[in-house]
Formats: sequence, C-alpha cells, structure tokens
Amino acid sequence: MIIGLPTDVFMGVILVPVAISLLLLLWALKW
Amino acid sequence: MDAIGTIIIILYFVGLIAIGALASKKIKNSADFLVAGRNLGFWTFTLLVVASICSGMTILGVAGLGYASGWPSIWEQIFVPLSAAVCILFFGTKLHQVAARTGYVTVQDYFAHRFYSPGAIRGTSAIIGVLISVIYLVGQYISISMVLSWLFKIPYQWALVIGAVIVMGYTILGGLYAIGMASLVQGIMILVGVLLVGPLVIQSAGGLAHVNTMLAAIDVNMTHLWYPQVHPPYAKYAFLTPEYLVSFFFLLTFGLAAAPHVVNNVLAARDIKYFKWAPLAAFVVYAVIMYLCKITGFAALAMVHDGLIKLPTGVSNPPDYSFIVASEYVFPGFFAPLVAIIVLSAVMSTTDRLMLTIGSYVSWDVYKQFINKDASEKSITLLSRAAILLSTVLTLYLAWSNPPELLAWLIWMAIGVMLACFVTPLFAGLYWRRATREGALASMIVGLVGVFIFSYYAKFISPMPMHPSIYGFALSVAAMILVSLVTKKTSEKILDETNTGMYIRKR
Repeated sequence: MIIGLPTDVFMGVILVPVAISLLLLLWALKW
Repeated sequence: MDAIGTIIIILYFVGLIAIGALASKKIKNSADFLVAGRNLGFWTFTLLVVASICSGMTILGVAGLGYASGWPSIWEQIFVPLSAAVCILFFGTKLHQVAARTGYVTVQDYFAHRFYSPGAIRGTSAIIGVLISVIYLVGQYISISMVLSWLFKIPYQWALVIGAVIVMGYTILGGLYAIGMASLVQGIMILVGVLLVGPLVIQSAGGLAHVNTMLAAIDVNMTHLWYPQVHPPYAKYAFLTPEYLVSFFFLLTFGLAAAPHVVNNVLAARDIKYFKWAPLAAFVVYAVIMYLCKITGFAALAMVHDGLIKLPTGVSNPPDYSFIVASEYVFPGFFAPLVAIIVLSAVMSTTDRLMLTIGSYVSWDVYKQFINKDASEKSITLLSRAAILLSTVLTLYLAWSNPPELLAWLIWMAIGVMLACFVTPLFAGLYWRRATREGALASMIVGLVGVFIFSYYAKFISPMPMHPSIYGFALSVAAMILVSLVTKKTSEKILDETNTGMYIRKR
C-alpha cells in the first residue's frame, strides 16, 4: 500500500500520465 | 460571501469586459473576429484550447464524479487532457498547415474543400455543430448560475442573467481575440486556484492516506482503477467497468478533440512551430488541474463521512457541489471569491467559445455560403455578433427553469454527437486518401442517427454496458469505409492541396 492505495493502483495513477507526457515530448523532439 | 468578496467578483467581471473592449480595437475584419486574425501567441493559443475544453462541468463534475465513484474515475483525468493534445497534434498540425495556404475560417471550410462539397457537407456539419453547441451552452449556463446562486445566495435566475451578460459582453466586443486574451487570464486563474485549493483541502481532510482509507472503507473498489465487469453494474456509482472505460476513452479523448468549439481554435495560432510543444504543454497543464480537482472530490467524500462538511440537499446532483463546499471549508469568508473565480473562469472560458462557434457557423458557413455569397466583411462580423446575442437569449430561455432531467440527458448526448459525427470525417479526411464526399456525408448522418437511437435506448429502454455514443461512432466508421470504397475517389489535385495522407506534417 502507498498512501492508502494498492501499490499497482498508485503506480498506474502516476505512470500513465508520465508515459503520455513522454510520448508528447518525443513528438516535440522529433519535429 | 461578504461585501469585499462581492467587490472582488465585480472587479473580475469588469476586467473581463475591459479585455473585450481592448480586443475590440483589434477587430478590423471578419477574420479578426472569427479566428483572431490567425495571430494568437503560444501560451494564449495553448490555454485557449485547454480553457475551451475545461468547462464548469470539468471542475464541478470532475470533483462530483470523484465523490461518487472514487479512483476508477481517475481515467477521466487522463482522457480529457489527452483530448487537448490529440486536437492540437492530430487535427491541428495538418489543418493549420493547409489553412496557411487556403485561409480557412471554420472547420467547415476544410470539409467543403477536402470533400469538394460546398453545400451538403458544409451545411450538415454547420447545422449539427450549432445544435450541439446550443445544448452544451445550456449546460454551461446551468453551472454558472449554480455557482453564483450558491455563493452569493441570489436567486438562480438572477445568477443566470448576470453570468450570460458578462460572457456575451466580452465575446460580442472582441470575438476570438477577446476569448483568447480572456483564456490566458482564466487559464492562469484556474491553475493557481486549484494549486491553492487542492492541497489545502487534502490536508484538512486528514491527508491522502486517510482519504484513501476512508474510500476503501466505503467500497474497496473505490481504491481500484475500475469496477468489476458486471452488467448492469452492482450500484449506480459502479458504472466505470473496463468495458465502459473503453467507450469513455473514445468519448472524451476523440469526442472533445473534434468538438466544434475546440477544433476551430487550431486555425487561430500564429505559427506552425507552436504545434511542436503545444500538445505537451496543454496535456501537462490540464492534467495537473484535473488531478487536483478529482482528488478534491475524494477528499470531500472523506470530509462528509468525518462530519466536517455537509453537501446541500434538495439539489439535482449533490456531489457536484463537493468542490465548492470543500473549498469553502478551507477558505471561509474572505477567500470565498477565489472559489467563485476558479469555477467561473472554467465555465466562462467554454461558454464564450461556444457562443463564438455558433456566431461563426451562422454567419460564415450558413449566411455567407448559402444566403448571400457576396456578403461584406462588415456584415459577416455584424451577423456573428447578432447570432451570439440571439443564441444567448435562446439558451437563457432553455436554462431558465432549473434543469429538467431531459436536459441533462441531452447535454451528455451532445458530447456523444461530437464523437459520432465529427471524429470519423476529420480523421479519414486528413489521413485517408480514399475517403470520399459520399463517405463523409454518410458517416456524419449515420453517426448522428445512431447516437440518438442508442442514447434513447440506453436512457428509456434498457441500460447498456458502454456509453451509447460508442455504438454510433462504430457505425460512422463503418459507413465511412463502406460508402467511400464504392464511390468515386477524390481527385489527386484536391488530395494534394489538402495534404491528405498517412503523415502528420509535410516537411
């Protein structure tokens, strides 16, 4: 448990937006 | 709310009207009014896209859904910010590049060009666009007056008129210039506001760990990422099953990206280079805002269970008040106007864009193309302003009696119409050289009829496991492919003029 959430839920909540941001960063760098 | 609070709000309103007056000096022709002279800077453009999507329903509804459904609803905070990035990246880059040569004013200009259909597709798209914008606008007015009447203890109808007059004022004065400048202010207000309110609410609710423990005590699924896949769901709040979330993704990420009041903004950016960083900037800013709003809703639920706050009774959807009530708890008295400014900024920044969309579709797409082809620059701008005034009166009339349930259903369906009518023609038009005029028209009409039938079925006959719009969208994709393949291919000349093909940017 992390801050009262199951560990995988906590990771999902953080990592999904981070992954999308990285993809959008890739788009900008590839321009 | 005391006298000082009222004065702060009035000053905020005066500031918005001043922005409108300032912007009106820049209006020299109809392109200035309708697409801000294609001259918006990077942050104005980025925040314009975010603020157009970020409505009153975003702030209040997001916290409300968090209050009702817990963490499974966090996907909304991924899908909606992503819609801003999808709009800028997949629709915006190419539309802006083509429009730099052709001078499109609305997305209908693109459809008319790409699908060589100055009549049928332009007319169909503009009429559907106006209708759903009016419905969506009614929803915005309801949340404006909800907030104003709650915070100022004034009658709902007064709040409605005050909110409408302010937004209409600066929109009629300065067109998209005013909306863009206002979005810059409103976007910053929303961001700063939720950065202040969010952490404080979580702290006074006893911290995130306590909030999550409370959620798990109410229903352990509230701390998971989805509810179990059963149909019908085991409780009203447990509708966010994996299947439903798939339809939620299409509805929000693509439906909002193709919405008339969102996609037209890409024509107003000054420079194609903005489309390099704007998708990331829009996503990050919007995701931060939405995460904080959602967690405020979770915290409000814990605070209600701990007896710290009480939601109002006798309103149509009490959880929608969770953001305001929780913020009032941490910001009593003097700071109450801050809460009002956050929510009003969100509502107004969508309302103004919806009004201008209606104004531009009526004047540019209907009047200039079908009624008077030789309409002068002045008459286009004048008619846009008149259409904004008329649509305000119409929506006030529709929102006047506090919202009946049918209206809530119509508003929820309006986003579905955006998904089923506009996403397929836009994607296929931009990226598929085989897409034809007949395919685009079939896809719009089949999508529209499909959403109506499935929404009606889901609401009045039997609930469905996914959002009804997804079935309409599937039909619109099928219609696009099948009808395009049996009709004559678009001429190579038009396809090359409109940069059609499986690439995003022509180097």
